[in-house]
Amino acid sequence: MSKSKYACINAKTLAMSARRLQDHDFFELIKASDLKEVFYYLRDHTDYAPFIKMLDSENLHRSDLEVRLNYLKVQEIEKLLYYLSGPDKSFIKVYLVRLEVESLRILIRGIVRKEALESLRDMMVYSKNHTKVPFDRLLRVKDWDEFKKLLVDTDYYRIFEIHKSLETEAELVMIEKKLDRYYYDLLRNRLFKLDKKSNHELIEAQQRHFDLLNLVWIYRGKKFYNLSREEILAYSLRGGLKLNEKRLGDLAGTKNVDEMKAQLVDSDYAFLFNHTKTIDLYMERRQERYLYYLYKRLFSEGGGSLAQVVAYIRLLDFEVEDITSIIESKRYRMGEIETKKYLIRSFD
Amino acid sequence: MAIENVIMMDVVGKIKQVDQFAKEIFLFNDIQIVDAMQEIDAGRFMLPVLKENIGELLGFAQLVSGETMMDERNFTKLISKLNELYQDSLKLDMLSLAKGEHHLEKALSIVQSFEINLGAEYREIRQINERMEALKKSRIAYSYLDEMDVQMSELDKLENFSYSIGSVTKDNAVRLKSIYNSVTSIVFHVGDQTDNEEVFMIISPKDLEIESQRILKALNYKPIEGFSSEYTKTPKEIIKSIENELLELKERTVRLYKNLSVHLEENRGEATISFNTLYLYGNLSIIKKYMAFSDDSFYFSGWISKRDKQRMEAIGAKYPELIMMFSDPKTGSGKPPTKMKNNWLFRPFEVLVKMYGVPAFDELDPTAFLSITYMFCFGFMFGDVGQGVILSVIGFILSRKGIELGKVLLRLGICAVFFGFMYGSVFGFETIINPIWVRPFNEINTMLLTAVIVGILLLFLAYIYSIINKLKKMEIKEGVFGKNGICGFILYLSILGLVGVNLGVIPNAQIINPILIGVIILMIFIVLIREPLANYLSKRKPLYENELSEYYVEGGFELFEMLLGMLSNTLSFIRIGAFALTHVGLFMAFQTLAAMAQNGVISAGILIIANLFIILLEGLIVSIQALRLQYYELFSKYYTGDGTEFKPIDLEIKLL
Repeated sequence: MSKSKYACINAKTLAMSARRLQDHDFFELIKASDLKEVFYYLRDHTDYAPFIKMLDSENLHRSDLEVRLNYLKVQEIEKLLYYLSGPDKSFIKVYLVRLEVESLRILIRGIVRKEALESLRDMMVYSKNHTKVPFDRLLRVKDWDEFKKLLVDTDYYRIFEIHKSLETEAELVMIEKKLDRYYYDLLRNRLFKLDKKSNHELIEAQQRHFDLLNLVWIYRGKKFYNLSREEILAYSLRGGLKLNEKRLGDLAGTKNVDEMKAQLVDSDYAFLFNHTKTIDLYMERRQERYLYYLYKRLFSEGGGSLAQVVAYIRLLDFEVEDITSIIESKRYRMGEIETKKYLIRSFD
Repeated sequence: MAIENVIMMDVVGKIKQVDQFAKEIFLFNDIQIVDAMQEIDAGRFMLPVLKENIGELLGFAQLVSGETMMDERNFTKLISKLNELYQDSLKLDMLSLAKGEHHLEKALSIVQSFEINLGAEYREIRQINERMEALKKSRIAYSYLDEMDVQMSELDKLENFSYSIGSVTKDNAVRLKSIYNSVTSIVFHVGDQTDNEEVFMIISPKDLEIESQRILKALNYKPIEGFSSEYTKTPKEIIKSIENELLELKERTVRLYKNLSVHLEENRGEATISFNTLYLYGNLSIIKKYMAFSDDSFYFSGWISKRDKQRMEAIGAKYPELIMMFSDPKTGSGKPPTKMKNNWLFRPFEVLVKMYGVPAFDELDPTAFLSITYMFCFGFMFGDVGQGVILSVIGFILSRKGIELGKVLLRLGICAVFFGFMYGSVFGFETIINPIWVRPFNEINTMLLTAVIVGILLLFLAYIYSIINKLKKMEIKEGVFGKNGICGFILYLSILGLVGVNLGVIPNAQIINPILIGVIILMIFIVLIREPLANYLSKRKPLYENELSEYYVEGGFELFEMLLGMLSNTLSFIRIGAFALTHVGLFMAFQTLAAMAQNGVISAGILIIANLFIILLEGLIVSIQALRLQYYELFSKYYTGDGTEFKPIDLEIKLL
């Protein structure tokens, strides 16, 4: 029964995945000599076209192009939602919340940096059909208080209300961290409401994601922010697979990064740290590449469950990220080999 | 069949006239407001560059959106004050709003004089209300500690420790619990709030307070309001005293309201006037939010029906300095909303059309076609005089209660009655009246064949609709050469002709067989190459939007699907005949049951239940089947429904 329940949406997902970029597309993008060529390729050969074709190739801004790629995510997720109901639907909707959170993050940064919010209009990527956030009106607020007031009817108010002011970068970091935490808590709550039997693999993959996020956070909290154990735990995520409450406590309680690495030598996640010089530089990429392969496997094996759908959405995330990295590499005039190092996918 | 033409109206006027103008707009109502700022940003709000417009043109440079300047909340506050005084008994009078002169100052001064005259009592009531709110908060706050047997004054006096009570979300509560043992404070879980929050009491040494506050802030800890140093006893005693005070206050307000009501009745007339005025100005503020303002001008945009243009111009003429411009949607002023206009018979069916999608502004409104065919199909499948009457009555009652679908049901019921006479069926019994046309069960083939013929006729109409729709949008590719365009229609006709000739429906016409086959092949070929053909004729390049091979592979499958679709769409209509038969058959089954019971009372019971069952279940199934035919077989041919609906002011802006 449960297998046939997903037959329809999985057929749709498979069909949609045929439209994703292939290796040869990436080769072309990497080979492109500058931003303009990347733009032309995306416009003429991919289904990002409808979202970027209005851009003026002579007057192209990197961020304009990058942001617009995300519109495809909204479109694809909205398409998939038609095929879902109940807890499955509400889980997939979380991925729209992710975009909403990102858009709010851009606005909040704008407020701290005293930018005119109206100028950020094009950066707002969210699903108009599934948001309670009045983005149009948010773009016109003058200060933090007005901003908060407009969000009274949303979950975000509870996050923002105790912050009386928003002036410093430190406060900004705190609020951004809280937004992330809110998002992942929401994700976890809805994840655990899915049918456990058929979605076993999906749930485990997501739990591994939590583990990785926690490890990166603890590592950075120790190395760069010098946070106390309690503060690290306050922002860490729950619901991980291998790192339960106790192990999180142990890791957060270590005196320094080396002690933390020692605890992880035999774990599944040793790959994040068993390098000598390049830990910080590639940490994000390593984490994402791990997830990339995880979701790739889920995509091909997750037939009778929601896993394939989630994997599709996540792989699309990675695709957009990779394109973004390629766009960035043009700015630094990186060569092909150098560029490939920063991509999540690998071509070996 | 009707979609009203709408046009975009852009207005620039002097700020001193903005209130008057906004009032005209408000009373006009049949206008969909558009955010003027967005229109201007999009470059659609264009003023002719003339010498006399210079001020307004310069104004573009310093525009401010009304959103940031206007605030209707002051008005809402006053209105709710009046409502509070009169306990919601003031009624809005749109007629007097339309006629009368409304002076804001006067209304405000009336409300003010209310405050002064009724001052003492009113202020007291307000104070009491505020006090009661505060007390209720405190009651909740102290109730979290009600199991604690300690004087609050002692807690407040602690020298080295401070305490606070607050809430965190359930997710963060888990985090807080995990650091219970290492945090520099003592943490107690004291209760839950209804809205997904858990309440904690935190006691921390004053020296380390800053550090604990930092961690609590990280967890979005929100202190609970309502604790006060005025309460010194144990929480239990405090709650008790709060409750006593609440009771006392309540009695006092009752007395005060009694005194007040005498005054209030004396002034009801004036209050009504100011209520209306404030209500009007509240709404004007909302309308003004959609405007843009420069130093001395206001800019307004909105969609109106084309036939309202003269009325609107008459309004504009009243203001000499006002510039009013109209632009046709075809000249590219954004995507206009769709305003549907149908007569009383068809209007209820708009709901069904909208359920699928609002017609685009340049599309034919399918409501009339849908209404007639939907009623016909339903009646055909559900022909019964008695059951039809019951459906109509139910529909009538529902529509009286304001349910739009009730009106649809009423019309469907009447059609069922009509076909009931055709079939000679009353509550399932076929012995009471004679059929005008046939008894379905006696002539099964007639029923099924009629159904298919009806289907074919409906499909003809759908093709014609589709062709008109597509040509209106200047889509040559689909409209002329497409599978639902002229070529598709000719193909369908030829196939029908071929079937007709060879089944002998059209006698002695075997000679035209080769011609028909030729036409069919030609049409299939044209449909296949429609994209390059259309591009070639309209001299557009490249001929193929995608790769050549891709186009033909897809095209091949599409042809297959098209031919299959023609067959299945046509046969699909057999269902209306089949359901007409089921309708009779189902009742016959119950009749047999009733006969088997051999007991008058039980038999009668069975027949009544049978009728109920048929009305409810079959009624539902048949209405869904009829709708299904509309949506899948017909709409998919000719209708896109990707428009947006025209929303007049009272639907678009939330009135106070």
